[in-house]
Order: sequence, then C-alpha cells, then structure tokens
Amino acid sequence: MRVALLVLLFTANACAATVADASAEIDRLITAGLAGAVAPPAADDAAFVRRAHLAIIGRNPTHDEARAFLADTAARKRDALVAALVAHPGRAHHQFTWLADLLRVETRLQNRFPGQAYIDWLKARIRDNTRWDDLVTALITADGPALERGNGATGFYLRDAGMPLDHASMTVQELLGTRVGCAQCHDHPFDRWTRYEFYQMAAFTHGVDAKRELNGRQRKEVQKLLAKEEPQVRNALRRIGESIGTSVGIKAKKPLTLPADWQYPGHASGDAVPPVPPFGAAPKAASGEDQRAAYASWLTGADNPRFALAMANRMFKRAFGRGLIEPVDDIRDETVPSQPELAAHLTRLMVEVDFDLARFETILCSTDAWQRAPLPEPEPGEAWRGGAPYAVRLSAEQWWDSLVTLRIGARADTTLGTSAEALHAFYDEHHDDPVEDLVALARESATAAQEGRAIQAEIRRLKQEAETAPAGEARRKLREDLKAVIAKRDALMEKSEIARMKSYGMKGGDQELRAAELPSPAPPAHPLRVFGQSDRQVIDNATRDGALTQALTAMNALVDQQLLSTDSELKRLIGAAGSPAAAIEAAYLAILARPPRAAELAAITAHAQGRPGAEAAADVIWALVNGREFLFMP
Amino acid sequence: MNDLSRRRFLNRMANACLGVGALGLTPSLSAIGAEPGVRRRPTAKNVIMLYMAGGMSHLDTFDPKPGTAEQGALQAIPTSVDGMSFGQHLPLLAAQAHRLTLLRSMTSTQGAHEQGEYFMRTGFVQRGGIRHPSLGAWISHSSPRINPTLPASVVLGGGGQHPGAGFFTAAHAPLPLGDPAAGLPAARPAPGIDDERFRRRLALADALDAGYRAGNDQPTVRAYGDLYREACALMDSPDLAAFDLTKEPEALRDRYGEDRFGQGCLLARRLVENDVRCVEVVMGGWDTHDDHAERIADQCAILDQGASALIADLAGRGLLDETLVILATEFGRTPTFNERDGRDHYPKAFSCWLAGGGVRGGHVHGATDARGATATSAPVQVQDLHATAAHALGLARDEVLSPAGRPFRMADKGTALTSVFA
Repeated sequence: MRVALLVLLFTANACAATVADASAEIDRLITAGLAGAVAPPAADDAAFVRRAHLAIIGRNPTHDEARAFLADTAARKRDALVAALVAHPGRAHHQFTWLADLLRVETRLQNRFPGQAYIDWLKARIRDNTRWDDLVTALITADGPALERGNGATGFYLRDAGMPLDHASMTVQELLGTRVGCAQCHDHPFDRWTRYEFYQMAAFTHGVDAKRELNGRQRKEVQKLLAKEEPQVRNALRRIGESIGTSVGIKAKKPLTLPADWQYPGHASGDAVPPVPPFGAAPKAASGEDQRAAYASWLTGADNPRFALAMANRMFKRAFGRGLIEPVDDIRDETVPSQPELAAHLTRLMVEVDFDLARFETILCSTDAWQRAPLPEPEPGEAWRGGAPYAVRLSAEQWWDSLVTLRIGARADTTLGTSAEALHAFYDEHHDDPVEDLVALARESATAAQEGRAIQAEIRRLKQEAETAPAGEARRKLREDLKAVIAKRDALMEKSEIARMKSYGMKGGDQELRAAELPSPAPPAHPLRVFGQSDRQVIDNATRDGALTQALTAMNALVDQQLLSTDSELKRLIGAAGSPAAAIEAAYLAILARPPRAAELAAITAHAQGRPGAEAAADVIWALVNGREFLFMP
Repeated sequence: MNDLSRRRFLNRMANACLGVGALGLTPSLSAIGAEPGVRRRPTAKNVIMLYMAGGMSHLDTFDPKPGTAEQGALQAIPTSVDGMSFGQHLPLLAAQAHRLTLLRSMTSTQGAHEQGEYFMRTGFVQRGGIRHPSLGAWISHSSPRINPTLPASVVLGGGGQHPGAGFFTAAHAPLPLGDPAAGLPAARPAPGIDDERFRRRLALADALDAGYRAGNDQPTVRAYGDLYREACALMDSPDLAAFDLTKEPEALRDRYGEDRFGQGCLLARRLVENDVRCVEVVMGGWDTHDDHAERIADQCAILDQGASALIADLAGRGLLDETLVILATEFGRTPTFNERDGRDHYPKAFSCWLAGGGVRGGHVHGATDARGATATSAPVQVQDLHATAAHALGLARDEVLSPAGRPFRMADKGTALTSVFA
C-alpha cells in the first residue's frame, strides 16, 4: 500500500463527508460531459433498492429488505443503503464472480490442478478488502505448495501452467486493460507494441510454472515406482499427488530466449532477453534472481498510467453498464475515453483511495448520476455517456442468485458451498508422508472402487446374454435386468461424483447455492451457462446475449420446480399473507421490489376469476419471473 | 470512423454477408477469402461428427497391422472392401466399409486431451485469450439456417470443455444435450401445467410486463420478446418430435444399441432429418493407458453397433447422400505397448473416416508405415479435415474478424481433400 497524497482526506473517521465530496465531484464532471443534454430524473425508491442490491451484492433484495427500504423515511437513506451493501456479506459472492470472469478462475484449473484454494483465497481477500494493488502483488509473487494454507494465490500461475507466454500477455490484458497478444508473434499492427518488447516483459515471469512432485520426488520417479500397481491405485495416487504435490515456483533457471521464428533485425533467434518493462522503469533485481517482485512493483507502481485507469474503467462499467473506454481491455496510447476528464479524474481517484475497491464503489454508487432512472443500452461496443446507468440485462449470476434468494431468502448470502478446507486438511496431514505411505493410502482408496468394477462386469455379461437371446419374453426380461443394473451403476457413479465434490466441501442442493458457491464454471447445461455464464476460459467472456433455451428454461424448468416447491421461502411468504391482495403484494415486493400498480392488479383480478387462490398466485409468480422487468437492471 | 467502429462495421458486414451466402461479399473481402479449388456446389447439407474422446487407438480399429509385434494379440478381419481390413471388434462397420473413406494418415501436433479435442473441434490450435468457434458454429455462421425453429447445431454428450460458439455470438452456439433419451430439456411446460394454463400464464405475463416494455424500448429488451415467441413456437412445433426417440420403433432403437452413444447416433439421424445442420455425438472412454485389450473390446462394441446402424439407416433412407458423417478423435495411440500393457497418446499418426455427403465409398486415403507409427503417404492435418467438411457443404471460407479485430477463416490454413469426393 503506498501513502497517498490525500491520505488526510481519506482517514476512516472522515468517511461520510469525503464520500459525498468525491461523489459530488464526479457528478460535476458528468454534468459537464452532458453538454446541455438533460439527464433522466432520479430513479424511484423501488428501482433504486433493487438496483443497489443487484449491482453491489449481486442479487435481488428480499421481500423484507425491499419493504423496509420503501418504508424508511430517513433523509439520506439511499447513501446509507449503498454504504450498508458495500459492507454486506453478500457482496463477496458478486465481487468474486466478477474477478473469476476477469482472472478465469476454475474449480479445477486446466482440468488438472485443484483450484478451490485459489477460489477461497480470492474470496478471503474480497472479504478483508485487500487493496487491489496488494492483491495483484500477491498474485504475481505467488510461490510454493498450492494447498498450503493461505497460499491459494498460486492458482494464478496454475491457471496458465505450461503456457508462460500466454500467461504474460493475459496478465497485461487483465491488469492493464491492454492487449498484447498480437505481439506474441509479431509487432502489434494497431498498437505501439513490438514483439521484442513483449519478450522483454515476459522475461519477468519467465521460468515460473507449476511443479509436480511428491515429497521431493519427481513425477517420473514416482511413476516408475507405480508401474506395477493396479490402475485404480495409480489413479488414486494421481488424485493425492494433485492435492499435495502441486506447487508453483521457478522451474527453468535459464533466461528467456528469442524463438526460432524471430523475424526482426537487431536481434536473433536464441538471443537471451533481459526483463525490461515497455514503459516506465522497474526496480532492478539481481540477474538470475526471481524478477517477480520487481515486475509487481512496476505493474502496480505510480508511474504506470494503465494500472489505475484499467481498474477505474472496469469499476465504472460494473456500476454504469459500460466503460468510459470500450472494450475495457483494449486501451492504447491514442485511446480517447468517451468522457476524457471524467476518466482522468477516476484514475486519480483510484490512486487517492489507495486501490480500495469497496470505497471506490461506494463513491460511484453515491453519485446522483448513479441514482437516476436508467437509460436505454446503446449499440454493443459503445462507451458510456449520458448521465445515468444503462438498463443492461442481469448477468447470469445476478439472475440465478435472485432466484436462489426467492427460494431461500437472505440465507443465500451465507457461505454454504464449496471450500478447500478438506483439501487443506489433507495437505496438512499428509504432505510430509514418505511416498511409500502415500501409495498405501492410494491402495486403500482404490479398493473402494472395486464395487463399481464388479457392476461393470455384470453389465457386460447381461449385455452379451441379451444380444444372443432370442427375441421375445426372455430378451425383454434380460433387457430389463440390464436397465436395473445400469441404473445401479449410475447411482454408484453419482455417489462417487458426490464423494468427489464432498472432498471439495460442497453442502446443500445446487438450487440453494449462489453462483459463486457452485463449481466454476457450472456444468454446460446448468441454467447459469444457459444464461451466459463465462466458461472461465477466456477473459471476461460471459455474455448477456439472449438464447432460445433461456426462455425454455425460465418458463418450464425453474418456477414451478424451485420457487413453488413446498420448502420455498417465496411460497411460505405467499402462504402467510392474510388475503389474496396481500399475497399479490408480497409476490411483487419479493420479485420486483415494488408493490403492484392498479392496472396490474386489474389484470391479475381478471386472470384469477374463478381460480383457486394458490393457482392464481403461482401464475403471478411465473408471469413476473418471465417478464423483462425481472431480467433487466432497473 | 474510429478504429473500433471500423472493426465493428467490417464485422457486421461480414456477418450480414455470410448470412446470405458468400456472393454478397465485397471484392476486397472475398479476394482475401478465396481459396483455389473451392467447390461452390455443395455435396452435403448436414454433418454428423462422431467424436471419439480420449484418443482412439488406430491400430486396434481402422488401421490394423496384423502379425506385427505392435499389433499384439488383436486380430484383423476382412471388410466388404477387398484388401481393406479392420480390427476384430468392428464386424458391423466392416460390413459397411464400402460406404467409408478411411483417412489413415491423420496427424496432429497436439498430444494432450484438452488441446487435442479443441484442435479437432475447431480446426485451430488452442491459444490463450481467444476461443475459436467449433465446426457447428462455423457452419451456423457461414450458411443460413434451413429449419428456423430448431437450433443450427447440437452436441450430444461430452464434458464442459466444448469450444461452442467460440468468438461468434451465442446465437451460433451448439445446443448441448446430455442424455439423448431425455429429449430437449424444458421443451414442455412443467409437470401439472396443461396447455390451457400455460397459455393463460403467457397472456398474464404479457399483460403484467407491457408497462415495462413500453417504458424501456431498447433492442435487447425487444430481443427477448422474439426469443419467447420462438421458444413458444418450438414448444408447439411438430419439429420438437425430432428430439423424441420414443417415436422410433423399438427394433430400430435396439439396432443402434441402448447406450448413450448408440441412442445419440439415432437422435443425430432424427435431427439432420429435420435440417439441424451439424450434430456432434461424443463417445468417451478411449484413453486406454491400461487394460487396453479389454477396454478396446468394450469400446469397439459400442462404436460398432451405433455407427454401423447410423450409416445403414441413413443409407436406407436416402439421407447418406446429403449427410457427411465424420468419425474423429484427438489423436491415436502408441504403436508400442507401455509397461502396463496399455497404449499412450500418439498424435503423430492416427485414423479418422468419412462417409456420405458426396465422398467415395470403399476408399482409403493415405497410409501409415508397417508399424502404424508414421503417415507415409498423403498426411492429413486436422485443419484439412475441417476444410474438407467446408468443401462438402459448399462453404467459401471467407475471412471473418473476431471481436478483437483479428482475422480468421474456417479450417484456418487447411486444404480440402478433393480427391476423396466421388
């Protein structure tokens, strides 16, 4: 953390006044940028309470939260709500999703390294509001065993293990909002980056990679030891090795050299490349030493103009729907933001608040501009202008988390889901074990898999018999037997799958977990993916595009099954209402954070004519969840 | 025009033009996109890709080397084509060999599963920071949909690593389905909701949302209105039956095999029959590092039954002429056995095959040496396989720009295998 010039202005006890001042300054610049155009009026309380919850903690307000805010008569209740939500436990889920999209965080990194410790580490840093520059420094300098407690930042390198040049270019895209991928192979055609500059920058993290060893013994050596073991034992040991044998560190001691296809004069293929930043200066580290601390200090340093700008612009986009520069990760020297003075001011502000993202968010959300009625979203790719947030579609996670909230209420914010605790405990207990003991452990767990193999043999036998049996009753019977055994096997597989998830500490049904508590990313057919959750393979590739399957899912697979089941909080709320009118009002507050309007009540009354009350209430819930109002930012 | 809007403009123009066929392209773009030998008249309308995940051993399936130490105990069997033999566990496909073009000289640069699968599904080597479109997405993007109600492409089975739409919009993403027997999920109202109540709910939703739509008239909000209408049209559509395997006679379902792969092959046939342009059927379990002989027997039994039934069924219905069937896998397996009597990953040489869609029957393209270790004639790169599919479909492979402004074309630098066409 560096000492900011304005440290006196931003001491903790001066919070309220300085937030108001900082917000007022942003509003002044936004108004100036309007150049006489009229900004929308202030959003009404209902729209505001829903927007604030969705934008800051990533879910709809509950029925009670919405009602309490609407009934509150305090003068500055909006700013108070913003401040309360920024400190709310639910915010960690939302902030995590956002960072997981940016950093491409997976529960199983590259499908081969445990990622849960990385996930837990990021969530903990969000909860303790680690400053962004400090968080980045921890990522860049991460080192050591992946599952040692507190060492989850190593996931940053495991994510791109074996692809050091890709990792270098994506790091710059993620942290500096600048695309240098082109310069991996040739001088950048549109930007100033040369291929040589790219290699100089990649030299900082050169040699850092994933290491796999069991208790100091290399992978090859262990494999040899295992050659005569049963395959199940080897598989079990591989799992064990994944958990306790994965670490990050400097693997190659040789300097980075230019590749065989080097094409520019002045340097030749095979030349060693020293670490040099593309602009500014980095502290000198001794040659041959780990250069990463120097690199982190350059990346996050005060004379790097992109670090604060990139994050300020991303935070602005998060609040207002678009960045002042779009795309947010293609900033170039000649880039002109849609509101240049505002962008420059926000960049300064990011430095002044010392990269405290919670504080930065509080200031943005306390502006008059943010509290206005939304503007229609412009063409894809356009940067922000206009004086109010855009009415963008909810992210897959905001939508899903709102459904989870309808089902279980504010309990959704409790951390219920995955955790690396079991993995850490396993590491604590076994990382010093001699390899021979680990093999014995693997043998033990392998015997547990025997049952499954026996069933597989039974399936084969029945299949053969069914094939050779004459058509008719006997064959039909055999096929029925076969189906039963296959079902038994599937159940067993399901169980072992759950067992695997349990080792990651997952509890509770999937429909009661917020997106950040589910595996990252969710499986391909999960509603989160249907609604555009990132596959966490490419930076920020979540989508808010519509798809036909979204409509099918929302109409037919969720409302009756999850929101109207007997154990649903929404169902309880409706049931507890004293009258049909109170039930409708409760549904509206829970789903849209507002009471119904007269025309809506009339439509509902007409619909409910001659129907049982429960049926009519169910239909209203279905209709509201399938409406555009529920799907878009208020 | 600034750089951003120029790129968007080009991108949009490419999209729009490709949507109505390559002829609408401006000279500058089509000049870049032209490739000698591109056949403008398609020989195929649809593609079914049978994807063997895990790396199918070529020596034990379509490129046996009987009598060599490399082959081991497995025998080769004759096929319906003189001089062509298959591994012993593929008797039903052997009887269909006269309908296949074997590609025995496949070669890839990717020896790990994730990278190998990505390469085979997209025609591009995996790079950080970009996701290339899969074959189905390229087809969807490059040619108009024939059936506007059904998705342009479908993937049956497989894990979460599919490249999907790549950098194209979500509209081009293949629809992923897990269990072919389960049909299209969520295509019917929830249990207990009859059609009458469903319609009443729709009418209520429309009434309650009208105020919001009127006050927030923007393209993204309107788009959801269209999607809901399309979804309801699909729910009402007779095309929905394309996903329903119970419409098939029991005897035919049996012929395909009751496992997911076999039933997936049957569903693939029903989907292409209803003008879904590209269906990928995934069969896992080919990663035979150990228990090789036993697992190959099990794997082949499933593949043999499903794929042979598909070829015969398509041929019997006259659909094979318009449907290109591709059997693909990320790599082959080592000619030598490892110390656990298994075979390891081997991208240097492996086998795929093509059937239907205008390709020759009973034909062998390329060969490996006596050990199955090296492609000795007419090596086929993964990109070439994609270029061949584009060729069969009559797609021009013009350049398109990714959202980041980088130029790409379907099948990358691949060359179509024009000699395999009849």
